[in-house]
Amino acid sequence: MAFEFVASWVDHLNLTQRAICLPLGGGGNGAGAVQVTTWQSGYPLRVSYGGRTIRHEPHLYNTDSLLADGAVDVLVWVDEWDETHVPPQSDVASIVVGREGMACDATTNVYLPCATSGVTGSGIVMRGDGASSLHLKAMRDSSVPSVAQICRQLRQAMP
Amino acid sequence: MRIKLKGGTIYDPAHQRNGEVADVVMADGVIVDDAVCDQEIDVTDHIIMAGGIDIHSHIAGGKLNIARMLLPELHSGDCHDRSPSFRLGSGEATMTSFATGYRYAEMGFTAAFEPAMIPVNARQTHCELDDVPILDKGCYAVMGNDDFLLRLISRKASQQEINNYVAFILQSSKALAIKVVNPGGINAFKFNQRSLDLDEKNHHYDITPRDVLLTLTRAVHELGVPHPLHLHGCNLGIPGNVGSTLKTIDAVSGLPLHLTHVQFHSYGDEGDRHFSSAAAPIAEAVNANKNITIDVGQIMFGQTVTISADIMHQHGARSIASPKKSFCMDIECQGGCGAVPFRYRDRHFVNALQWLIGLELFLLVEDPWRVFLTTDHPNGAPFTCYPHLMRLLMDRSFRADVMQTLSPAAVKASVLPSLEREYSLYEIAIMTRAAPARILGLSHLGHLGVTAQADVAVYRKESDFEQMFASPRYVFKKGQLVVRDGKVVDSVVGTTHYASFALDRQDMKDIDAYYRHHLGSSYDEAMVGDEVFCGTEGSGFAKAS
Repeated sequence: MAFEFVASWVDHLNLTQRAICLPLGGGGNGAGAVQVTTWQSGYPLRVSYGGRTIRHEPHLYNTDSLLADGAVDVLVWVDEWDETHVPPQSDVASIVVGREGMACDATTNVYLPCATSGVTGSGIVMRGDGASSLHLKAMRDSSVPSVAQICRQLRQAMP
Repeated sequence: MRIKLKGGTIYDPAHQRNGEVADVVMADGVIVDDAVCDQEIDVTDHIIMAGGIDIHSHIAGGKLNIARMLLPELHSGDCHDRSPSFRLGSGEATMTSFATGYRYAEMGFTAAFEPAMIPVNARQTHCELDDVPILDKGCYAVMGNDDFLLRLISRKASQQEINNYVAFILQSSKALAIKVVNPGGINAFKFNQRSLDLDEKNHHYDITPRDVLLTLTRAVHELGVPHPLHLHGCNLGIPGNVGSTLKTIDAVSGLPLHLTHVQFHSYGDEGDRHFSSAAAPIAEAVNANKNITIDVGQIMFGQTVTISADIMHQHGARSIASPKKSFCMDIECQGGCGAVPFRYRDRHFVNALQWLIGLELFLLVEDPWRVFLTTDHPNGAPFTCYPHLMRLLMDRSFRADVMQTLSPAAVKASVLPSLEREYSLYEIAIMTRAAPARILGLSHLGHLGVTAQADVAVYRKESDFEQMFASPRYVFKKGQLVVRDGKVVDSVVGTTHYASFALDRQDMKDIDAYYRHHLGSSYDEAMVGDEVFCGTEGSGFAKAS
């Protein structure tokens, strides 16, 4: 709502003069994830593909609510950037694809260390406004696979 | 697998084959001259064409995501491809990536080109295109409002300096061609100018759209880029803009120039409503100037969304948005992005006349090699209406029936009722296959000759051309069956085409300094590499710098 208000204010000012507002992005390439889910599904994050349909429900598909309600069978937690960003406590079985050295506790069932773009792997990050992006290249060699490689292997291993 | 299509009726204008009955054999992804095959498919009484090519369709890039987020209601309850073999998708005007590849293939189209990639958004655009299956694709980089270029023109830099910069933009953004949107106008809008005709000055840079147009037309020509400068001209959508369009055709003095979505630039200001068709003088000028090609940007009635870098126009159009919401954004001082939803109505005088003007242009331009079938997807209409549009061009009684449903005042103001021309299958094959490949410099696409990429569409012969083109019997991509009876059955990887230049790093110092100082980036960071090709093959064809 705040964004809509600011945008409409700027829009109105532009009828006779010039005004702009600048968005600020968050960390962790959330903006990149939003861009990808939007071109693939039509919606930004918190999309369900269950039942081979696409549903966008930002409140319903909030991670904390889904875990608290016991509405999911498994938690897949991906973070290649921040080893301290561990999954929330829950009773749900979990697979963590996380930066090397992530401090997972005993509730994590599977931990798969992954490369970090710009350090041990390469990847693309997108800016918050969806205009610009950067190719982060590996600064040093590593045998640790990227998130994409892990996902591909998991998919191939699935029946 | 060597597949022979036996006994089909071939329309292959690149080889002057007009309804000839013959076999087509595909092996290893290309057309071969060989009778030996592993599988023979009887296509007697079927029409064979190369896969269709759309030279102007907004199918990827940040602007499309903005429109998707602005209009979730165009996606809700609309889920494509539920079969587990395919990726899900949604939407029509703002169709999602996987669905875009499938839906084009289901009409027999096997290539589509994104015509408005802002260079700074290039990496993202290519990533999105990488998720468009089956199609070959490519992008045109948007120039003409970027401060670096306008500074060069303003300080009267040499043409060589300009050419170096244009080569950098093509190379760094992996673009196939250069597009100009409202030359200098988007930039002038930032300095609070509300319109900019061909010879009006940008108040800040003291240069005109004509300066920008001539400089870039020459650069593209001198660099040997196969596709001419792809121009979205001045004054889009403004009644009376025919004057600007005619002056633009004259301005380039015989150099190759492609005018895009000309329907939106063919308006007079005559009559009680001060809005009239100027298709006739535009078509006359196109017919007389062999250096000019056009695509039409036909509108169709219904809901869509207009997406354009032309924020000077889009900001002005926000008052007629339907539903009432819109979005305008500057993109890194290289261009803009405006998304304005719109519903074209058949009983509305202006909308009906827009529809009539588009068809007038198709039928009055004599040479099908120089007029291309587009709806400027999604600006005029979603690309899924192409079979309907083809029928309108090929069947004058159908055209007359549809005209009965339009605003009578608009029909009265148009010459369309008097035009008897009907496009032949051969002319459709020129307009949607042979000519697009030729004008993009893609010699292995758009035809059925030996060594051509085996992108082949097979249609049942039907009197209802809409039905025929909407549901091909078979479509092959690189020799593999991807569509049967109008439904996608398999998915293959397409190729992204781009021009490639050997840049001299010494010539790039100013560009690097500008990128570092103003864009928070650098020459190296701007250079899009093969990191964008995960599911797609990249194919650059080298050009001398």
